[in-house]
Amino acid sequence: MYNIIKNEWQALIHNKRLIGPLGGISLLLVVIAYFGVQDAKSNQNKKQQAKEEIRQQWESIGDYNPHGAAHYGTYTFKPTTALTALDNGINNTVGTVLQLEGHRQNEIIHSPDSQSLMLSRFGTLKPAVVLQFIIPLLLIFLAFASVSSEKEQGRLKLLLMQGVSSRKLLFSKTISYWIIGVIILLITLGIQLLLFSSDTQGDLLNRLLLLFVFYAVFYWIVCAITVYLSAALKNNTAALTSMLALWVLWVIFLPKIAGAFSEETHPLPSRQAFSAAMQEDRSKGIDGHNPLSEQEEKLKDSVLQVYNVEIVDDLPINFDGLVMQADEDFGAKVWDKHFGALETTILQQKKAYQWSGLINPFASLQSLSMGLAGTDNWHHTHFQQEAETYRRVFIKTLNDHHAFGGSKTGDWGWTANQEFYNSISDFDYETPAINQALAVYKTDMAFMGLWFIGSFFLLLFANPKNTHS
Amino acid sequence: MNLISTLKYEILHIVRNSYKLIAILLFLIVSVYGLHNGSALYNERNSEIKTIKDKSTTLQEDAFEWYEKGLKGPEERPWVDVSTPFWAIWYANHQVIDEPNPLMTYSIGQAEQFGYYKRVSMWSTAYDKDLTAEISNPERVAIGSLDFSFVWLFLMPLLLIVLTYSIHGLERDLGFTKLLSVQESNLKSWIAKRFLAIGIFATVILVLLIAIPALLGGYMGSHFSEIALLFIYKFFYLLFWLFLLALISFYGKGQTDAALKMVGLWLVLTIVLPGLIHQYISLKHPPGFMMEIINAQRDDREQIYDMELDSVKQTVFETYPALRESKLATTDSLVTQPARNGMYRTALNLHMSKVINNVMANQQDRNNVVRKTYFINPVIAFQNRINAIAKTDFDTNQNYRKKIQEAATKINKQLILDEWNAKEVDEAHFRNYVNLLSDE
Repeated sequence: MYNIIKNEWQALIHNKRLIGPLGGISLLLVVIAYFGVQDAKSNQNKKQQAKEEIRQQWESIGDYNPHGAAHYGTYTFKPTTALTALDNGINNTVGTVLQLEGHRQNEIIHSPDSQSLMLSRFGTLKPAVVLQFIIPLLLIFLAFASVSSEKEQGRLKLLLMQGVSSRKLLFSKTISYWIIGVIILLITLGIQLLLFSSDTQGDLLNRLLLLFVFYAVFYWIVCAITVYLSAALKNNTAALTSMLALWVLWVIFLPKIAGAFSEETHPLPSRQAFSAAMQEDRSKGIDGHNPLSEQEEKLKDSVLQVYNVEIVDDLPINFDGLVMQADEDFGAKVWDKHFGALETTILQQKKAYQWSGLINPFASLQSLSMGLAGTDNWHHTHFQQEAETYRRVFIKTLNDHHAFGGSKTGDWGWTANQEFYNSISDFDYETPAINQALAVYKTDMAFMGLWFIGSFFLLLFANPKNTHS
Repeated sequence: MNLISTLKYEILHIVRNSYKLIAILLFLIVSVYGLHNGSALYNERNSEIKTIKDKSTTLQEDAFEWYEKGLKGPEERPWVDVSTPFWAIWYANHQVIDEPNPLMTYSIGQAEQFGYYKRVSMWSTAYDKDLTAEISNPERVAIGSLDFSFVWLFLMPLLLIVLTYSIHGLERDLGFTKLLSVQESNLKSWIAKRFLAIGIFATVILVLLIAIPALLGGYMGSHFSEIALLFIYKFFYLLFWLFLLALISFYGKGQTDAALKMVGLWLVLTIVLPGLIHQYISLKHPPGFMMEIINAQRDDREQIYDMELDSVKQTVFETYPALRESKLATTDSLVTQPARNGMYRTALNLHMSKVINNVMANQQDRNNVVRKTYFINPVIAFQNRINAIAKTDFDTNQNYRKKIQEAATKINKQLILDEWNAKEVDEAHFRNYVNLLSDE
C-alpha cells in the first residue's frame, strides 16, 4: 500500500497540470485565512468600541425617570467568534444590532448584506468556502484518472497480475489523494489556531478538532467515490464528467432545492400575520400605557388590598411601576409563545434540510461547519435568547426602582440618580460550549458517518477487473 | 459545413448523448423552478400589500366615521382627539410601500433582505427597526434562493461546459485533428461555428424562458423595454461565456484538459473572485452598526430636547419660513405644550433626515467601490445590472428608504404648520391628511 501511495505522490509531483492549481489553492487558502482572521479581529474591535460607546451613554444618562430609561434602553451587538474567520455562516444575512428596551422584544437588524449592492452569491471568500467548494473539486481533478488511466494504458492488468489486490489498489489510491486534502485542511485550521492563539480555549480547540474530523470525512467520501468511478467507468472523461455532475448536484443544486423544499413544507408566517397575531394576544393583557384597561383595574384592586388603602394616591409605592412590570410580564408570555413558535418552525425547517444529507453529504458538512464555527442559526438564536433574558432583568430592575424607589403614583417627573443606573451591569455574552449545540447536529453527524461507511464499503466491494478495462 | 448544418449536427449530437440531454433537461427544470420561485415571491408580496392597504383603508374609514358621528376617537382611547392635527394625522395611517416589479420573476436579487412596507408617522425614519425583511430562515437565506438569474448566471455556464468541453477536445483525444484540418479549411472557424450553434440553441432557450412567463403574467406589453434590456444583458452574458469557452476549446489539449480549465474558470469567475472582492470590501469598507443613527436617536435627541424653545424654533423656522407667520408664532401666549412638543419633534425629524442622508452617502461610497471592481468581477456586475432591471437591488431599496424619510418629513411639515396655526381638523381636512402622500 505504501508503495502505491508513494508512486501516486511521485506522479502528482511530476504532473505540472495539477501541481500549479494545487500550489495556487494552497497559497489562496493561506492568504484568505490571514485576511479572514484580520477581518474577524477588526470586527471584534469595532463591536467592542460600539459596546463601550453605548455603555458610556448609559453611564452618563444622569438623573432620569426609570421608565424613561427603559424607553432609552440599550443596544447590543452580535458577537464575532474566533471561528467566524473560518466560516462566516449566516453572519452576512442576519442583523448585527439589537435594541433592548421596554415594552417590546426587538429583532436584530442591519445585516451586512443589506448595506450594499450584491457582492457574491456564495459569500465572502472565507477558508470554509475554499474547503467546501474548491478542495473537493481539486480532489476530484486529482483522482478522476487514478484507476481509469491505469486501465487506458494497460497497467491495471499488470498491477493485478503482480499480486496487488484490487481492494488494496483502490484504498491506496483513495488514501493518497485524501492525505492531500487532509494536509490542506491541517494548514488552514493551523493558521486559525496560530492567529487566534491568544484566544485559544478548550472550546475553540474542541470546535477545531471536530471541524477537522468532519471535513476529513467529507474529503474521504469525495476521494473514495472518485476513485470508485474511475475504476467503474470506461475512461477518464466518463469518470471526470460523472464526478463533476455529482459535485454540481451536491454543491449547487441540492442545497438550494432542499432549502426551498424545507421552507415550503414548514412555512413561516408573513411578518404582517405574525405581528397581527402577536398584537391580538397582546391586546388581551395589560397595556402599560393604557390606564383604562380592565386588567389594570384588577391589578389596582389587588394592590390596594395588599396595602390596605382605598386609592392609589395613598399607596406608599408607585403603582405605575407595577403596571409597567405587569405589562412586561404579560408581554413576555406573548413573545415566548410567538417567537417560540417561529423558532420551532425554523428548527423543523432545519431538520427537514438536514435529511437532504441522506443524498448529499455536502449539506451535512455545510451545516456542521457553520454549527461548529458558531455562525449558524442555533448560535444566533442563543445570542438573541440570552439578550432577551438580560432585557427582562434590565427592564424589571428599572420598573422595580420606579415602583419601590421612593416615588409616588403619577409622579413621572421623579428621577433615579446616575449611581443607580451605573449599578445595572452591561450585557456580556459568551458563546456556548460546543457540546450544547451538538444535539442539533445529530442527523448531520449520522449521515456523514453513513456516507463514510458507505464509501468504505464501496471501495471494499468494487472490483476494477469486472469493469470496462 | 455551413452554420445550419452545424446547428443540425449539434442538435443531433445532443439528442444522441444521454449525458448532455439530461443536463439540458435538468437545466430547463431548474430554470422553470427558478422562475416559479420569483413569480411566487412577486405574488406573495402583492398579496401582503393588498392586505396592508385594505387594513389601512379600514382604519381610515373608522376615522371618517368618527368625524361623521362627531366622536373624538376610539371609545377605548378617550385621550385621542382627532380634531387635533396630531391625532388626526396619526389616524390618517400613511403607508409607504415598495411595490414589487413583475420582473422579480426573473431575479429575486436582494429583495429578500429588505422590508417593503411601512406605516410612516411623524416619528418615522428610513432605518426604523420595523422596516425589516420578511420572516425567513437565515440559513436558507445564506444558502441563497434559486431564482432564474442564479440559473442563468451560474448554472448556464456549467451547461455550456457540458455541451462544449468535447468540441475539438474529442478530435484531439482521438487524433483526428489533422483530418479535421483537411476537411475544414479553417480550424478556428470550425470551432466558432460549433460554438455559435450552441449559442443559437441557448439563445432560443433564453428567449422562451424570458418570453413565456411575461406572456403568461400579462406584463409583456407594459414592461417590454425592461424585458428587452434583461434579454440583452443575459444574451451578452451568454456571448461572454461562449467566447471564453471557445478560447479554451481552441487552445485545449483534449477533453479532460478542456473540462478542467473550463470548470476552473467557472470556479474563479463565480466563486473565487466575487468572494475575494467581498472579503476585500468588508475589510476596506466594513458594514456599519448604524451608530450614527443610534447616536442621533439618543444623544442628539437629548440635546435637542434640552435646548430652549426659541433656539429650536429658529432652526425649524429657517427650514419652514411659513411658520413665522403662524398664529402661535405671532402670539406667544397661545403656545401650548403639544405645540412645543411639535416644534421639538420637527427639529428632531430635520436632524434625523440629515443623519440619514449621511448614512446613505456612506453606503453609496461603499457601492462605488463595488462598482469599480466590476471589470474584474463580471459575473456580479451582470447580477447587479439584472437586479437593477428587476428592481430587486440595493439602489431600489435605497430609493424606497428615501421615500420613507421624505414622507416622514412631509407629515411633520404639515403637522407643525397645522399645530402652530391652531388648526381644528374636520372631515375635509382629514381627507387632505389621508391624501398627503398620494403622490409618493
